[in-house]
Amino acid sequence: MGIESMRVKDVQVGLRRKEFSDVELVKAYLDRMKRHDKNVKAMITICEEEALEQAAQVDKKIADGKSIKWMEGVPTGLKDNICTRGIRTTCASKMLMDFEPPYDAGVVEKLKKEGLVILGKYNMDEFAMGSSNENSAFYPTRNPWNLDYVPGGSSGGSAAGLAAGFATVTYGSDTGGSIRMPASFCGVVGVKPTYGTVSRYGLIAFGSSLDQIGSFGKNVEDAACALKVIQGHDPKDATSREKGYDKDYVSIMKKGVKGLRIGLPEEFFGKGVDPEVRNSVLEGAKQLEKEGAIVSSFSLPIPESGLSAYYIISSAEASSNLGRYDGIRFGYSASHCDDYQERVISSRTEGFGNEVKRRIMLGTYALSSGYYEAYYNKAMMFRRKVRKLFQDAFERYDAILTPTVPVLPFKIGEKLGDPLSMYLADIFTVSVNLAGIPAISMPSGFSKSGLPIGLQLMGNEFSEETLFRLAYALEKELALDKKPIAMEVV
Amino acid sequence: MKITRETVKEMAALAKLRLKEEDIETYVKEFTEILHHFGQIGEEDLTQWTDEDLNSESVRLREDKACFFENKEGLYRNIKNRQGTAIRIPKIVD
Amino acid sequence: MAVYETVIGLEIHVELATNSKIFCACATSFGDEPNVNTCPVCLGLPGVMPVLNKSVVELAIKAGCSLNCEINLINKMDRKNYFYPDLPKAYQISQYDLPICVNGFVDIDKHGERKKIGITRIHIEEDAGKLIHIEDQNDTLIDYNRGGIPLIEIVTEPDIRSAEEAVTFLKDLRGILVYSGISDCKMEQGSMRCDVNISIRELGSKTLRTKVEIKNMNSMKEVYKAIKKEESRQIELYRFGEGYKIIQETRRWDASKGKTVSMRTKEDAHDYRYFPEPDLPKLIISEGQVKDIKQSLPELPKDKRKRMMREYGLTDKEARVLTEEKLVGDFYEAAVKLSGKPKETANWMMTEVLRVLKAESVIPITSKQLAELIIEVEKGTINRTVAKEVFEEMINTDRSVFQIIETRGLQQISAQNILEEVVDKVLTENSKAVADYQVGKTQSFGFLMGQCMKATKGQGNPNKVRIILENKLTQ
Repeated sequence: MGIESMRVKDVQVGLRRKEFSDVELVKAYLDRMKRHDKNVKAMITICEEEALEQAAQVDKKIADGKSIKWMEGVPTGLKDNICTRGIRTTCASKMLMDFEPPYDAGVVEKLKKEGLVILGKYNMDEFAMGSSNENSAFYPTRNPWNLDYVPGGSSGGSAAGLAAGFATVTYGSDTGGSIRMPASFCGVVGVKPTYGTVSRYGLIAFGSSLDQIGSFGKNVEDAACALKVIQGHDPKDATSREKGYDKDYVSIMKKGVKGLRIGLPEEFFGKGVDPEVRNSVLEGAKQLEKEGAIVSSFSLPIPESGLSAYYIISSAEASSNLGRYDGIRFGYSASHCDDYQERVISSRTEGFGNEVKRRIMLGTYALSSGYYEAYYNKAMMFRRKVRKLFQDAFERYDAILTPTVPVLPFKIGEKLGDPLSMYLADIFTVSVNLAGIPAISMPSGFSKSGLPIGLQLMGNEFSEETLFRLAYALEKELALDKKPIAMEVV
Repeated sequence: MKITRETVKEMAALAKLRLKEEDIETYVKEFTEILHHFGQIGEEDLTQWTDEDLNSESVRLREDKACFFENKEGLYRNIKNRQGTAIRIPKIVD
Repeated sequence: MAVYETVIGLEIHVELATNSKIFCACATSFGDEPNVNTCPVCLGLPGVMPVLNKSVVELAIKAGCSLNCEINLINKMDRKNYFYPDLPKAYQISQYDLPICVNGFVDIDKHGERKKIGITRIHIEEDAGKLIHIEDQNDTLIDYNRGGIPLIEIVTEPDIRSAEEAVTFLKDLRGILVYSGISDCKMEQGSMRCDVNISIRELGSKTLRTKVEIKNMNSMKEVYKAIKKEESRQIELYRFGEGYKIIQETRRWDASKGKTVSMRTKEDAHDYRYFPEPDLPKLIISEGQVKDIKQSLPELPKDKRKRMMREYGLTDKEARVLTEEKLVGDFYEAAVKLSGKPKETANWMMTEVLRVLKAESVIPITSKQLAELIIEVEKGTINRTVAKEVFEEMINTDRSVFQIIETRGLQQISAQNILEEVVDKVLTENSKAVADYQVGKTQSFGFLMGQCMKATKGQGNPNKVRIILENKLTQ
């Protein structure tokens, strides 16, 4: 089996049966990266030495006859906004080009404890701001299904890298769709968990009330396993929830979907949706119906205002979160300036890319006196409305099904000159973050041109298990994972 | 709420950013479009959503115990300009 | 001619007495090497998050209770955004529109009458780092050890009418906060800082005129001087019809120049862009917790003074002196309990003990030792003069009263026959003085007393000696 097709199960079985060593496995992934990343450009930092060392330790345990933990030895990668101690963490920004965190993020501590092997740090839109991975200060990542197309963003590297076979599972972050959108564009499964169930400590903040770290997998089971490793309370994060974690996703998701009620919100299937996308997603809903789910339509009038609320809140929080970048205690410093004020202004002007600067200014505006009421306050009120609307919807439905993105993957450079049209790509994903609920994007099919289409399932707080059930059943029905992986073509 | 060159300059100044003269027009255009679009949220009737949702869980507190952060070297390594363990910046006149 | 009234409100920042900082576990100790008490959280590194210190909440509630405030059972933290090198995150986590305490007051003493100074609000916030300017260097150094130290900000209503009232208020406030264990309130060390908001209006007017903020006073004395200076500056301007020259600004008190100086502001009134801190959910306090904390408050200075005046027959002045520091009052009461002599003990405290405390910053003896000393004087074992010597020795060694009296043979001589012998001898040796006294020079008596006491090495029972001497001289 080619390494690019390996699932978590294959790794777990293979290691225990000694079909291959962890070092061999890691070397194979690293090789693949070296061969294909010049085209995909998913990697920012490859941690070859550290990864081989970790793998060697796993192999020693196995050789000594000791039992290894359930996910131990599984090679993974992290979006480059997750702090890894001693390994540069850049947020794909010039501002943090040489930043070496002196501590590990909460999720990294968990990954190390469970013994996963970190292969490297993945490319992203700078400071997680973007929907195409074109805002990276390094280079744009390319969609492995067609290198002229964007992989989606902002976790473009994690999604593309996984699709290209650079790791068994990967991790990204999702503030307004930054896991689900690239998952959809790259034909993989992406999970954004319930807000507060994965530690944000060490996740370089963008929109604090919206950010969550989540997982990518080539199939639903892999994404679920990867999520299980990182979920859990972290006392270093005051927004981290204390209860609700003790669910065994892997066994629950095989329970089938009979009787589960699925809602299709009309506003998510209307005019602005590409017909191929709409058809593919509706097909998916039909499949679930065949499996015994009860599907019906309803009204959820949130996309338009939801997008506005999202951009106002996330930009406002970002403008504050990014104030600390002045070159004084870390990061890019315009040391050529002799005057303190000049140094700060130059460091920020030279260190940040255009999209970041744009959002900081918008956010500053939304919070400034005279405009706070009209923008930020209104957005917060609308957010309460969104929460309530979802709460009401989840009394009638166990899950809500929509397309992940209204459009097909677009070409690199296509939307760069039009920021607003780029923002509109998030229209179906942002409301999930506003409400703090979980959502999964999974492949539902391909366009005629061979580009992946994604289907989104949203559920109430802590309903990840229901979402996995639905996604697993649909995945089996669609049998998409039997299609050839794109990288062989490239 | 008309966005003018002045508005853009003010926003940049508050955010400690410097804009090139030639870019200001572009920003005026972009912000006008973006803020107009997002400002439409003002058309929603949100009068019943003024109250804070009362999520009954209080913020989780921490025991008052002092603990020394060991990896000082890692902490200091990122500082570009130092004098001993103090951070050095160009002179500030108050 | 117009009569003017000074209107003053104070903003006081107080460092809370906790072991660790407000949002991280770094130590709060003072005076360590720069940046040694820092971590990624208080340095504002990318990805870090604040976690609120339990003690901070408890002490803030305690402060509110001790100042008669209402506690807001639901309150929240907000971000105050601005750029300054001592502020690592470029925002300060503070409380904006829902602070932890509101509507309190302190009763101060104004010429024997009570005056209420209103407390508008108390809120929790984090301190910033410290900028160090070095004389001949062309740069500034930053030390973030102080960054993240928990503060409460206490804002008063503009109820204060003079520099004297302001200082009285500050002293009373300090007493309350120190007694309650909330802070050590040392202005010189910066654990209590005071900014003054001052405006002038015509007496009888109800509207407020332009106010000026004054910063940088490092002691109560400087607060007093600064207010007096600014008060006259503003009144002068109004008197000459140049009131328009008073603008709403911040002025720095320059102690060396003895005046307030306008601060060069680079930005206009800051737009702090306050919004709720997304990393910290709301703080919800229970009525029960407030009740418990209220009950745990110790007896506060004013009540203690009243009680001491009642119980021990002290004057107001004596009570004030003895309660200015909590440890002094506690020491006094413990000593009285053992000695049974409140006035005597008060005397000793105010003359000897406080002197030593001022010089050495601690009281090197126990209240038991003081009580024992007083008892021995009462018993007549030693006289007061000798007692002072014993006191000195107790301060400098750790020997007890009895040990000292014993080893140095300091017992008072009261035996009639011994004293008569001494007096006889003195009279014989000082015939001129005796003669002087007998022609009416009364000061000779003092001289002869002195000689007698000298002859007894100070240990003579002075009353007895006096009686014997009087008797013998009139014979």
